[in-house]
Amino acid sequence: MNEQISRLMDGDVDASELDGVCAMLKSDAAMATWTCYHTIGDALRGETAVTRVIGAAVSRQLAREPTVVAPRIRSVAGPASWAWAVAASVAAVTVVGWTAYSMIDATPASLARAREAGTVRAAQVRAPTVPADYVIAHQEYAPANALQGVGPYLRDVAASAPIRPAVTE
Amino acid sequence: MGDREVDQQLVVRAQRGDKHAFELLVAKYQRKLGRLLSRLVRDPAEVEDVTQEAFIKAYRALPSFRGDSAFYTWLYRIAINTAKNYLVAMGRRAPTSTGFDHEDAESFEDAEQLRDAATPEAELLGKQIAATVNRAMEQLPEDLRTAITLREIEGLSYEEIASVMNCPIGTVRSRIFRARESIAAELRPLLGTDENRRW
Repeated sequence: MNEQISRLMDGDVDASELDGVCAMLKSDAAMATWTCYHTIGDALRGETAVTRVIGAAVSRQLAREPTVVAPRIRSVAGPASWAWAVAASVAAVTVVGWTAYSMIDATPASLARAREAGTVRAAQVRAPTVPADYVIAHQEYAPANALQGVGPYLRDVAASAPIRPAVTE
Repeated sequence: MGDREVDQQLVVRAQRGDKHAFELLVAKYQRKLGRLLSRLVRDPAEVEDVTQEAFIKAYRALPSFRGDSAFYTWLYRIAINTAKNYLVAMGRRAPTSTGFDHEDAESFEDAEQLRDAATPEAELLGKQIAATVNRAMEQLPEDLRTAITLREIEGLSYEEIASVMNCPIGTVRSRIFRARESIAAELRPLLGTDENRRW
């Protein structure tokens, strides 16, 4: 029992063991050992008490206090969390960068071809020419007025005016 | 799990309604906090009162403790504010600055001032405890004395002690425990077993 208390003091207890050790520490004997061990540590560091021991007095006051029940807090992200985040970011940038770099054909020959291709394209660029008759034939489809795309239907409606039956007398 | 993590685990338990977990923290830090507060509140009886009040305030404030800082750092701030408020309420001027920060408080060594602040009973008990622990340390085998010195005074982890002493961690664990038990055997009669001295 006391060895577990000693290990708990030094942080050498797994989370799975903690419940058992804390339950054990509810006995007077275990509590006395916990206090004794801490007193030893304080004495070795020269931290002697300047008052009487107040643990029992605080305990009596605590018994009168309403029990604190705090909402669960999220575990604090430790250094490992942000280290993983940084490592993941660096890895992602490296993969993307390497992939892009490997796709670039940067040999002198390819650079020359690329330069030539650019020149040819520049020479071939012209203002787009559209035959005038095509524009005239399709102007009703052009979005030049507020009734875009409605032109054909308007014409159809106009063309399909009701034909009155011939009146026979 | 380090010292801070042990405290954090106890705090989490206290936050879930386990008062005994908080009592473990009181037992751990009562001497340290008392020494700290004796710098602000000189009267020994008042130091006791303020120390108790600080612990109770800390317990009430537990829901606001999120673990962003070490428990003792948080407790330290509560204790300083409690002492300042106490002095103001008593019509005395609280120091505008404590004159030392948290790190100083950790290593605070002002023996003369502490002697002034200690009650005769506490001063006598403190001297007896120190003498008993020193005597028990001298009687320890060398390997046990080295192990507990590296742990309690130098603050090394088990892994670091194992490296320094060139032995397995299990051996370090055993040596520290045996050292504590040997010293405790000498100390327990002095600490007594009645309720007021229990812890």
